[in-house]
Amino acid sequence: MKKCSILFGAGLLATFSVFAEVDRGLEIAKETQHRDSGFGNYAVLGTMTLEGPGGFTSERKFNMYTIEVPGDGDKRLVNFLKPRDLAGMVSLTYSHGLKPDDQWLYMPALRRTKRFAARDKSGSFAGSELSFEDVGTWEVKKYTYKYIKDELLDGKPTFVVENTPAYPYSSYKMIREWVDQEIYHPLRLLYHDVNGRPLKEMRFYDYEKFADKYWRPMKMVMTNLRTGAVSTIIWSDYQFGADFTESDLNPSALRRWSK
Amino acid sequence: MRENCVSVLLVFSVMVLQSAANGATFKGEVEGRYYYTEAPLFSEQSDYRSQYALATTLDYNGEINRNIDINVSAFGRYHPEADNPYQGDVRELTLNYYASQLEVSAGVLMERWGVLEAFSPVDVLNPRDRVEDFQGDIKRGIPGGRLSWLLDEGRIDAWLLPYSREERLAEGKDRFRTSALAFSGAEFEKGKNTVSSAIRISQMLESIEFAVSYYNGHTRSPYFTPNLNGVSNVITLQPNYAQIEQAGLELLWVKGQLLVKLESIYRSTNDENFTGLGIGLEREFPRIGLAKNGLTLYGEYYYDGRDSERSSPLTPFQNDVFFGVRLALNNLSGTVYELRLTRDLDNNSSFWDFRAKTRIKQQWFIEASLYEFSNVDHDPALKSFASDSRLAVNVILGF
Repeated sequence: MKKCSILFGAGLLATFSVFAEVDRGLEIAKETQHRDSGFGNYAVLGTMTLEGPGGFTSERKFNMYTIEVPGDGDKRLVNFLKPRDLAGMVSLTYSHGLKPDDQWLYMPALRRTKRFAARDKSGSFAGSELSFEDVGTWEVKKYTYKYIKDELLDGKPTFVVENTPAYPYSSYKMIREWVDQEIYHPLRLLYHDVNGRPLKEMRFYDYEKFADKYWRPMKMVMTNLRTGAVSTIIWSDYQFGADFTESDLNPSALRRWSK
Repeated sequence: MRENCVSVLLVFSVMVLQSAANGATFKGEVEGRYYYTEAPLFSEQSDYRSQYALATTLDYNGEINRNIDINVSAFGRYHPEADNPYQGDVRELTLNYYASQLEVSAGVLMERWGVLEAFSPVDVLNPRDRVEDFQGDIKRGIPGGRLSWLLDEGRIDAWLLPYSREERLAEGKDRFRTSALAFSGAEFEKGKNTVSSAIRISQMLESIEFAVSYYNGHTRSPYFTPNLNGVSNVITLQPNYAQIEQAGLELLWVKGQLLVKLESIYRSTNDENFTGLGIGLEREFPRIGLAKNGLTLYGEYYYDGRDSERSSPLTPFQNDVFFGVRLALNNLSGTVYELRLTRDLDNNSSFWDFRAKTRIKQQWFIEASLYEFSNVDHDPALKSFASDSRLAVNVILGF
């Protein structure tokens, strides 16, 4: 009987411990969102270099415009500038948390705005190692969170949190995240495939503060752990409070953005 | 002549405004093309099975200020074995004004309506360039103006088009001729200078997008009547452009990873009224296994109720199915393969179209396409292409 009580007590403690880890993971996520909310909009120039296993490289350049939508997912427009076969192409995504996103692509050669079925977001973003799920905007409700431990990463104290996608059509089983304890932004993401095996790793470098509040990385590196292929994005010209509004990020107006 | 004058005037306008432009982007390409074909069907057609051409397209966007910009898309081709070796067109040349919800464009317009992949029955504003692409995917610019009002999740567009342009048709030495007979001067039912007008309202309702449109003007695809020249005793075909009214409906429904599409038209002319319909499914598999390969499958059915005796031989998609497979490797070279099959259910004829494109260096691309016609001898729309199966290889320098 005593043994049963000890086991029961241990089980209870373990349950409390799990709840505590979950609560703490969620607290970290909420704090991250709290610190990053209220930005309104921002624009940024991305230069993405793709490196294949053989050393062959290819470069893409694009402007990215993000607008915050309180109560729903953010809206994001990507306007490709290079290379020649992608230039003028414009993609627009409305994120919706646990519902499938809405996604459109303007194809300049056809003068056509095409709607895409975006329930499955595992497709490659512009031929890179990043998927549309990876470049989508982050929302607290997209994952459940479990705090694992504190850990030093490159000399910086981080929270290690396991993010489990709540979105039923996610291409990941889990994403392990290293959150900078000072700025509450990720320094490393380790993506696990649906079988739970590590698939890709994203590293974030050189965070800078904009508009006195919002931290953004100047460099991101995604590595495919299976193939060794690497995609590096250098971000520049961040503009918070940029000159565009929600009505500009309209699927009916994508042709305006195509240059 | 008038078209040339308008084009020159607009190009001149661009040059003037360009000096004020503070942000401009140029894009363009130069290509070489080689054909490997069977002997031609008609005696006048070039019998060189291996041909080459040089073509260039130039796209320009100049921003005068945040609200005004200029778009230009010009094209030129030198093809010695074509009936007209030197060809060019200003496909788009517009001065555009943007306010928050208002858009105004004037000049040479290039518009695209529709949701289907192989053919869009509703897409009626621009005439086709069937020498550049017999399937009609490449269009000619049309002079006019567009006034648009953006809604929260849709838009209203209205067009005024002051005169009509002809469809460009293959003739003489050209391959992909639709008839052995030469064409005589085109006839427009109400005169080429009659103004055409159109309105289109599109709206999104969560997973459903729809658009309704109305067009009043000359058709962009002619029907043909034989003419006997009493002096030379030669029969020619005259392209006739009927005055039409067309109401169109487009529907797209996103259901999971599936797109369900519909286009329907009701067209009224002095001689006949008919409906046209296209329905389609599109299913995308963004990632096959752990590779980055993305696969898209298309299936479409088309029906057109017009009198085939009257419109023959050029009415496409009267009772046809289309299947397509597109494989994007999503690799560093941007390699894409596409296989398309169009099958006429009335005549059991088939048209196979295989396309491939990849980057060979940062600015160099290679593109191949293979056309294969099978069992087209009894298909009035395709029988004249019976000997035009071909392989084309383009080397493209993008800048």
